[in-house]
Amino acid sequence: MHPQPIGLPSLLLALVSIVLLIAFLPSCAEERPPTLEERAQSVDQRLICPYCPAETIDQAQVPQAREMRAFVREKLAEGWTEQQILDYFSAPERYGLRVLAEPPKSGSTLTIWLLPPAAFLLAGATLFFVLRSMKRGDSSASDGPPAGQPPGSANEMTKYLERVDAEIAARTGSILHQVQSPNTQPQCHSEHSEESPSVHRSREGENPPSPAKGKKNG
Amino acid sequence: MAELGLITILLALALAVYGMLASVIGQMRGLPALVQSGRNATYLVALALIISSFSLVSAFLSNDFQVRYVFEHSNLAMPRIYTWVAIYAGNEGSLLFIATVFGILAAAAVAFAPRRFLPSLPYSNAVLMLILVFFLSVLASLANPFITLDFTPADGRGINPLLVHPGMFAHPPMLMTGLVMVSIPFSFAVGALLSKQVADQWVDVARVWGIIAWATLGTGLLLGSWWAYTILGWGGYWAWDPVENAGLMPWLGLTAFIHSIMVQKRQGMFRMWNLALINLTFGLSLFGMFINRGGPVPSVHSFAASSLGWVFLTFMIVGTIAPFALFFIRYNLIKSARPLESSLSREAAFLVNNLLLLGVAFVTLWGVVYPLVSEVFSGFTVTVGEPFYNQVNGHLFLGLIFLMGVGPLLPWRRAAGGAFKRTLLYPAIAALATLAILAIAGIRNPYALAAFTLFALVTAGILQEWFRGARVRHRRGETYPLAFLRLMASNRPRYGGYVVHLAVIVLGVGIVGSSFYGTQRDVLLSPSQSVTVEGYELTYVESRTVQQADRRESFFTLDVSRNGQPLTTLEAERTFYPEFNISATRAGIRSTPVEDLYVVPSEAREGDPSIGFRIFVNPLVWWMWLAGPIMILGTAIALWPSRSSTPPPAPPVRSSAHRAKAPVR
Repeated sequence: MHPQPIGLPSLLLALVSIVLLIAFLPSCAEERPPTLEERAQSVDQRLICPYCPAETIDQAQVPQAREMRAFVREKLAEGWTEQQILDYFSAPERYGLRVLAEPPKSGSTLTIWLLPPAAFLLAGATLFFVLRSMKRGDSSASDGPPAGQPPGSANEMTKYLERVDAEIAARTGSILHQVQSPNTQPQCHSEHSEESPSVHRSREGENPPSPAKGKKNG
Repeated sequence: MAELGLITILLALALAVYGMLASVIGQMRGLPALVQSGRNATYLVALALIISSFSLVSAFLSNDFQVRYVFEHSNLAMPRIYTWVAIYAGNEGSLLFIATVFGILAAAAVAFAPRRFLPSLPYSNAVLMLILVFFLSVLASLANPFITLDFTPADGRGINPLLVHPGMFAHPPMLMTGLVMVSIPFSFAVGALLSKQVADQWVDVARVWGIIAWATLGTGLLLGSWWAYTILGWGGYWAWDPVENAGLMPWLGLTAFIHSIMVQKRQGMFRMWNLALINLTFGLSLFGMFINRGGPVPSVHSFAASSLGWVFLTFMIVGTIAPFALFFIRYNLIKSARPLESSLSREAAFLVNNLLLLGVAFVTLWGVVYPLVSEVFSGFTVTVGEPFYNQVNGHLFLGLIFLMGVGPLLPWRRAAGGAFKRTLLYPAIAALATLAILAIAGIRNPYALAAFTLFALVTAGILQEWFRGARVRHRRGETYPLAFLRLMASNRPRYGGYVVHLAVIVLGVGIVGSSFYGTQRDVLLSPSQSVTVEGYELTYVESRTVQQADRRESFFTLDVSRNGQPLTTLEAERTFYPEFNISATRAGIRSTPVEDLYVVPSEAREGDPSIGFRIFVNPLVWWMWLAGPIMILGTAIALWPSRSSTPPPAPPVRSSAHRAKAPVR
């Protein structure tokens, strides 16, 4: 291995300690309880003006919105919680759920909150399996170079990569490089080849880059 | 003039139908002359539409109020320069504008298409003409801008006052142009599918048009935010309104597309995915048009609203399903040139990037349609406002920025673990240092902390790449500035992309700063009374009112000082339009890189000299507007064609080729 002054583990350690520091250090600035006006504004921004679609009472300039803003401040001063005020306005006998800018995370509107994470998990899982199947590579369908690893050589591969790392680092201090397969020459035709615009030019518009072309770079 | 306008629309319609048929039949029967005539028809369509637009302009300039559209959207008092805005201020005119822009773009796309692209070009041309036939049919029948009234009114109704703002000269046209421009890469993709040329022929040209559309739409969105910020008077710039979302979704689709198309360009992979992606983006742009014209969701800025909702709904459904049907018919022809080699590679990062971008688009779409879904299934009317989008999309955006930091540092095909860790080392240190500094400075909001940490990661990664590349060249005798410029020129898609990434970071700094650390105060001030907000002392000096022909303009001046030192005098404006019963405000803004001081006056009350002011202190907003020019610069670099005839500035010596390839630490 290469001498590394700081490795990723130590960076992770640093991250964890900073986060702990943030969590437990009594902070010197900010950290005051929100004022009544700030709480009122946060309520304003969560209530849609019933008389002017798509604007919150914070934004709307009609008199009714102004009255609602005054009501919010009055009730907060009386000791109502923010949620109580939201519940008051969104009660079915008053304006109903349509005055809430944020649909409640319960009851019939729970679906709006649940669908995105569910869809995202599903898409993520699909992507995972697609990636895996792409990696296995139905090489029959491929007219490019065959997929990398020969079977059962994971360990050898790691060693090989390390050797290439060391070799290149020793010669040039390279950061990134690519290895097509253990049997071929190491290739350094990464996008990092700042010095060879000609190579990029010649490759543009021509797909896929053939192994021969790649070798020239290596 | 009105007759000429309508005649040219009908002419363009006939030519578009001819161009579509001639292209397809000519190509299928192998008749080059017919194909050529189809192409010429495309040029003539553009010409006819330009003439049609000019006749609308001249109707405006000559105050021909017999033309209903002119009557409804201008009057004698309107400054002539706003004719340009009035053209697209309503449904019919904006459709004509879209059709004209589309005609010109289609002609340009066909004219500049590369030669080797010939087999599928007639099909692409036919697709473009088919889309145009839709717009022209609507213009000729349901939304004719040249309908005349039975009499000639003495004066028009006037333009919507909210549109009287310099931002309106560029924001709507860029947004509309960007939306329709999605059709061009789309038509190249469909042309490829129809002609069975589904490999990589269409990629270069679709990428170029995709990037132009992306930049146009992005600039349009940013200008819209600027307009909202300065004129709507609520101190914000983005409200996740359905119409804003309608512009954002295709932009997200395009963002995914211009990233993943690079994988196909460089590696010959993701062929299916790119075709599907551009189809999807086209569908999103159709959804955007549908929402804008008679969309079913309430919005603060539907200026072109009409009763044409069902027409655009049909267009959207057909325009989304048909390409996907074609895609599945051709499914077996599309194969990647190469399998994926590693999950730790730039290709894989691009896939995750696409997942996140489409995730944001999906969440946004879901938020827009949910009120309808709820209405139908549960009978409740609900609203989906900012908090939903901020909460759900906020996380996805953080993921995207993380990927923006890591993805570009990954090589194509496969990263070697150790090397990758070392590339990531300095950006990670920079990110952690930023986190520590902000934490010590007292910032506690976890989202703000995470965002700024990731911003540092991205920025440090980009700077590191630039520095390494430049240093390699510097060691070979170039001065640093020259080395940097030549480095940028050596791989424009990549380094232009980095500049755009920096623009996104600059934009993000503005968004995070103003969303988490803004202050808002409502105050009532009598003349010469003062108030102190966040260290600014504001003194209301005076108001003056100017009565214009169609409006009453009130100006309010406030002196601003800080620590006793006078800073500036702000002038905020409130204009009342009795015809429309609308008040438009123009905020008084003092903008600095640190923070904006932003003052909006409220309604003056009869017999009361005091005025309500809403005062905002918005940190870092200034940076958001800076992002626009940087983004355009980056796009220009990425698109700038490389002249392959010029020899490389410093041909690498064979023996040292290896050294030259690798960035040096």
